[in-house]
Amino acid sequence: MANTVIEIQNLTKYYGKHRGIEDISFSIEEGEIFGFIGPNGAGKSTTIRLLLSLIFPSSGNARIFGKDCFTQAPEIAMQVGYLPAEVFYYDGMKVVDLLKYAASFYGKDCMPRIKQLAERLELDLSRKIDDLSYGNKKKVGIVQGLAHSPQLIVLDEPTGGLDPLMQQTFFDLLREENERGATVFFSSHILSEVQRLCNRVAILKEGQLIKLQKMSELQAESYKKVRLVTRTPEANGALQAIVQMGAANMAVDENTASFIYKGDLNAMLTVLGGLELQDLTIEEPDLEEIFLHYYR
Amino acid sequence: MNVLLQEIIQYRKGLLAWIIGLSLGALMFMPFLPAFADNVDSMKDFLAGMGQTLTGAIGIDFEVFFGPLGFFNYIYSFILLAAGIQALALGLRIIAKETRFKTADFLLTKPKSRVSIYLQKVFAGIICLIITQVVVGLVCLFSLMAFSSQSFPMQTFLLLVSTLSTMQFFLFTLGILIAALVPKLKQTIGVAIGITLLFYVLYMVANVTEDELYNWFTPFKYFEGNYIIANQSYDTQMLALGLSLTLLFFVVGLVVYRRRDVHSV
Repeated sequence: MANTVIEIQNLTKYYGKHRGIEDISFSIEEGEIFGFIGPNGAGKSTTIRLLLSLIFPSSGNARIFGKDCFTQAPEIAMQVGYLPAEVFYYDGMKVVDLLKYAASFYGKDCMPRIKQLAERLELDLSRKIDDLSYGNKKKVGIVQGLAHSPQLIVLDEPTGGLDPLMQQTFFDLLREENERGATVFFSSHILSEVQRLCNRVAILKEGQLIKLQKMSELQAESYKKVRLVTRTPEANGALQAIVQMGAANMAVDENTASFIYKGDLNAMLTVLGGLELQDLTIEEPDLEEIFLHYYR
Repeated sequence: MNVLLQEIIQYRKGLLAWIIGLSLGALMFMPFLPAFADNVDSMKDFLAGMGQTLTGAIGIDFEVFFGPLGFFNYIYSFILLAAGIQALALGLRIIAKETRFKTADFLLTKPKSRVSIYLQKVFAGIICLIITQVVVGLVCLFSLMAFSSQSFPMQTFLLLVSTLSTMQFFLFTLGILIAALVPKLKQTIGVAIGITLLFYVLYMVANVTEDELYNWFTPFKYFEGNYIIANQSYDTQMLALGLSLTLLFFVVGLVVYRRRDVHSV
């Protein structure tokens, strides 16, 4: 049986009277790529900051590699790479100096790995951090998070600022780290990127864990946002049928209709095929939209 | 040690600017020493005309002022004021900047305990302040030897100069404590000027009213130059108070910093 890497028990955090997270429990096994999803403000960052001992819990406990997150944080941090949503570094430093400073905490020579990662991400080590674009700063964050070959990689909405090609490279890197044996804890509010990468997900809403499931199960529940325009306004019958089949948030305005669909795509397309369509778009809904209608 | 070195590297330009500023301040006033020594009588008349309340307020004690080191002490009190601002600002900055420049996530997720980070930051600050104190002390010594026509007691001089250390360490640890308690501090130099000037005003009020109660609330009384010149030693009770508070600020700062929530940016 695989070892448990992260173990969270009844973890609760209040900021004064404001809720951060309430009574969250779950665990992550070694070698998993674990997705942590939920809309903004659901408590994803709060959970991650608790795990990293940046904040302290109101109650409950958390362990990483069997060690207590709040009393043994430095020992845990030795094996953890963290990439926050937004990266900030000391002004006036060159990329290479910052990365050397970051590496100096781990007591090993990270320079070969730093060079390797910088090459993969097309990051110029000799530039000043102040002069870097948002995306390039993000790359510095990735390099410093991975340079010491951590056993656990914690990512808090990491893809913002990276262009699609770079996102691909980044995901490849994460998969390679995972194959090497690293466990990945990946928080996001973008369902599709979690779907691409993760084996298992926890879904968070308003500070509570509402679902914990395998990616394969979640994928079976494929959500689509559908918008259609018909030539004739008599689509009501077909739309009723689609609601029966699993559509939500149906909005109809004369010839236009939009809804979120969860279910068999072929069945829906068969019904829509009977309509005189002028336009049809099927796209990924925002996680917010899914939450609004499926996880009340 | 890496955090300590990094802190010193980050502060090196600020440190250089403060050392130059403080040294220039000392050098600018020292040439007045001979002129002052030559005109003691007219100076006495002038100050007497100002009235004891006003001269007392700005820290001029007649018996001390016209003795050896008296005028130097007077100039030195302004260096102390400026150096106090430096120390307080450094204390505030060294802790608050991680929140202000949003680098706390970077630093505090590294495999170093908060206690270790705090201690390294404090020692980095202390090293920078000691460098300041040594340079400013030497500048004062050499300029005093160059410009003063009178001889002066070296032991008293050293005691006087040492008030720069006690004053700076007091205000430095106070700055650290404030920054630990108020993580979202945006302004450091402004707050430092405000608090140090407030202490100086309290010192003036203490001088004017001669109410001993005020003495307890300003470091300018804990480490007072006039007392040192008159007695060739610190006021032991006040010194003990100042040093105890310095230690207290340091310890409470550590306790707060160790368990403080670092909020996301």
